[in-house]
Amino acid sequence: MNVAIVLIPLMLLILSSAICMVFLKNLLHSALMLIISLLLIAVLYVFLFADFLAVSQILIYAGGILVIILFGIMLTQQIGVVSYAVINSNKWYGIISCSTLFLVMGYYILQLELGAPVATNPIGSTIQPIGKSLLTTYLLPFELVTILLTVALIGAALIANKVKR
Amino acid sequence: MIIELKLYLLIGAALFCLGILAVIIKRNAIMTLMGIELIFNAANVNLVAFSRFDQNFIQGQMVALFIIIIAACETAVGLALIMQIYNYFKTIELDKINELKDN
Repeated sequence: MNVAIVLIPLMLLILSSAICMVFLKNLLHSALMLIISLLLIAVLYVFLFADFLAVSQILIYAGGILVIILFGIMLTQQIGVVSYAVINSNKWYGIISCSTLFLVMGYYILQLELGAPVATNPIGSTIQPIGKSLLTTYLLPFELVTILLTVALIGAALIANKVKR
Repeated sequence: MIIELKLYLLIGAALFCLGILAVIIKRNAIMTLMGIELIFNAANVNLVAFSRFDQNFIQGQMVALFIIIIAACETAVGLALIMQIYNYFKTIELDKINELKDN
């Protein structure tokens, strides 16, 4: 299969950048590795014919969330102490338990008997169907999520305010 | 086709386990938040992969879209809380924030 030639190196890159994110000692380097991994996941979405989702992944994660995380890193480091260092605890117990979890999940995924998939090849982009279904089928979740986003952002601004105690 | 879908599911599982690992072993609160982001992405990869091989094509992508929005909310609130914790304790090492612990 032709797609697999591109897909497997891409997946290996995603995995290796995620592993680097977990095991690098420097907090800033881990954040940059997280950005790389999220951008590569956006490429994976393009392979799955989810172009709108890929664009919003880049915009929201790499453009929004990671900038917030970098600001958080820079604002919470003490000067003078070993800066940006990350301390692990229970490292080997964590590695053993998580790899066991992965082995179990992988075993059951490989055992899985999926029905014959319909290979849907959509014509054009998915932006139009997503826009239509946002305003018809998914109208209630859409409105709820807008309220949630507004309330969460106002609440975050309120919490982060310095209050005189 | 089925092998390809299983490949996507495997990478979702691997990302999920790496996220759990980051949440468990890291003692920095921001690293924990980054692990949670990785877990969200693992869920999203699974949803989009299933949606690719679904008859109704768009369903999984819609759920993934809502998950991305909720992840943005979660990060904003979490980082605001971390800022306040830093102002109060002057550290974000999760092991050192043990005011309620009897020691």
